[in-house]
Parts: sequence; structure tokens; C-alpha cells
Amino acid sequence: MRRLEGKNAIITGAGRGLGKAFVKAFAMEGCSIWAITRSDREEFREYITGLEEEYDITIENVIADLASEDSIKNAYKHINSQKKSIDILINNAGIAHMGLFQLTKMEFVKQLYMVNVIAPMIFSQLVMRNMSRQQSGRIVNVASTAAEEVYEGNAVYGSSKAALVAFTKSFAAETMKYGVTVNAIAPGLINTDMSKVFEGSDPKEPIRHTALGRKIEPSEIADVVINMLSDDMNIINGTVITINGGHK
Amino acid sequence: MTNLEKYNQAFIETLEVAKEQLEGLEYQQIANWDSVGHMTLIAAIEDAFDIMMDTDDIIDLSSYEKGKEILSANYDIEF
Repeated sequence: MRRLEGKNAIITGAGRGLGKAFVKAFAMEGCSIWAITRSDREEFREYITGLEEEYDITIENVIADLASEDSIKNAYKHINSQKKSIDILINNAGIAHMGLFQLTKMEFVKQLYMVNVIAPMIFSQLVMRNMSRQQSGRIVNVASTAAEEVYEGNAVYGSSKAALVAFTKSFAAETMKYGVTVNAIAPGLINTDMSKVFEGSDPKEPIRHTALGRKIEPSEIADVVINMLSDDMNIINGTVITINGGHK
Repeated sequence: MTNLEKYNQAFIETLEVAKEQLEGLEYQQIANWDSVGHMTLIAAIEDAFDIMMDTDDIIDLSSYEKGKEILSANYDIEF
């Protein structure tokens, strides 16, 4: 029995890295997907077509610029017009950044906050309308261990993820009465292109303080989220699950 | 069923009020029209007219009369 059989999920930032791993893992578990990406890439279209054929589900690539509120609303309107249940929202898209705050342009800070914080809020507010009617739904926000870490260069990215964590906890207090849970995951360093932003001049430095001693594979994160979405985990709400293999 | 009848029915069924109570009814004036009741009412209105209301309109729908104004002005629903 596939664990997400017959469910429908929206996954943002689906085209690469962790998002792409989510798409595959969800497809394997029988979940149909609206895969939100910023651009239309043939390679990704071929990828999802292969998954559709292999796992007998549907995946639609929905193009949206998460830096634009109108673009997000249009994507949602398109999805909502299909009159299907929206069972799961994975707010995965994010902009990684490491750099001294004093040398970071405010225009970039605004863009990062739009994608990392405001876009998940907009998507959550929109899908909550469906989920409250359904009296069920799961929202998972992809935060980061950077939300609680203190180091030079983490002021913008870390604070955005901390904001996402705070949003997760308080929004969860509003949703439980509708049978909807809101949780976050806080991955450590993931083996994706995005993580290279955090490596600096020494690629081993970020993993030096992890008990795991290596980066986490995207599929390992996806496995945790699949477990979080199983029916017997529906009492978990307003929680942040750290996925970093432990601190050292 | 006319648009007014559909609109009234959304209020009557979700907020459990009588038709005679609708005129002048405002958000949070009765126990059933709290924040939870409001979202249930919005869902009923959206279903009745097959529309998707903008978030700003949902927030602005503060009374029975205001709702009719919003639906007329922004969703081409005539009463």
C-alpha cells in the first residue's frame, strides 16, 4: 500500500534539488502533484513524464514566480479551477544566501524574504481555504537549521528561516480545529547545488560539526517528510523536525 | 433560485440565523459569526456563486449589506 495513494500535493521549488526529490518520493507513494517551478525546462518535463508513467499518477508542472504575489495567486487559481482536493502543501522553494549583512543590498533582502517567507504565507493562506472545507490537510514548510544558528553571514538567510519557523508554529494554532496540520522541517546541509552557497572556501567546514559527518541526501529528507504525512502522524502540529544527523 | 435567495441561504445555513435577522447583521454581532463562522460563510458564498473571492474581499465582508456590495462590485453578481 502506497502511503500517499490518491492524494494531491502542491510542491514549490520542485525543479531542482530537494524539491525534485520530493516530487519523486511523493510520486512513488501514489501522490499526484502540482510541481511549481519558476521556469519551463524540457529536462524537468521529461523527468515528470517518466514518473507519471512509472508510478501511475499525474504531475503538472505549474510555472510561477514566487517573488510575485500575482504570479502565486494565478498559479493557485489555475490549480483550484481543477476542483480537486488539495491535500498537501510543501513550501519548499527558497533562496540560499551567505554573506555579511553590511554588504547585502536591501533589494536582495526583500526578494529573499518574499520567496522564503511571504510566498509560503500566501500559498498557505490560499490552500487553507480548500483544506478548511475538506476538514483535512497537511502543510510542511522547509525551514533550516540556519534558523537557530549564529555565524557571520547568516543574518539574512537565518532570520528568514526563523521567521518561517515562527509562522509555522503560530499558524498551526489556527488550523488544528479544521483538521489541518502545519509543521516545518529544519534540514542541515543537504547534498544539492544550493548548499554550495554555505561551503565557503572549505567544503568540509559546514559538516565538521555534524555527528553524521556528511551532507544529507535529498531523498533522506523526503523520506522523513513522507513519514510526517502518514495518517498516524496527524497529531503532530506546530512542530519543527530537525533533520541533520545530529550535532557534534 | 435568485442571487438574493442564494446569498441569504448562505447566511441562514452557515450562521444559523433567521431570514428576518439578516438586515443589518454584522461580523461578530452574533456568536456564530466569529472567525471560524466567517470562513464557513465565505466558503458557502463561493460555492453558491462558483467564485473565488480575493483575500481582501474576505476581510472586508464585515456585514450582510457589505457582502452584497462586494459581490456586485467585484464579481458581477446582481441583486
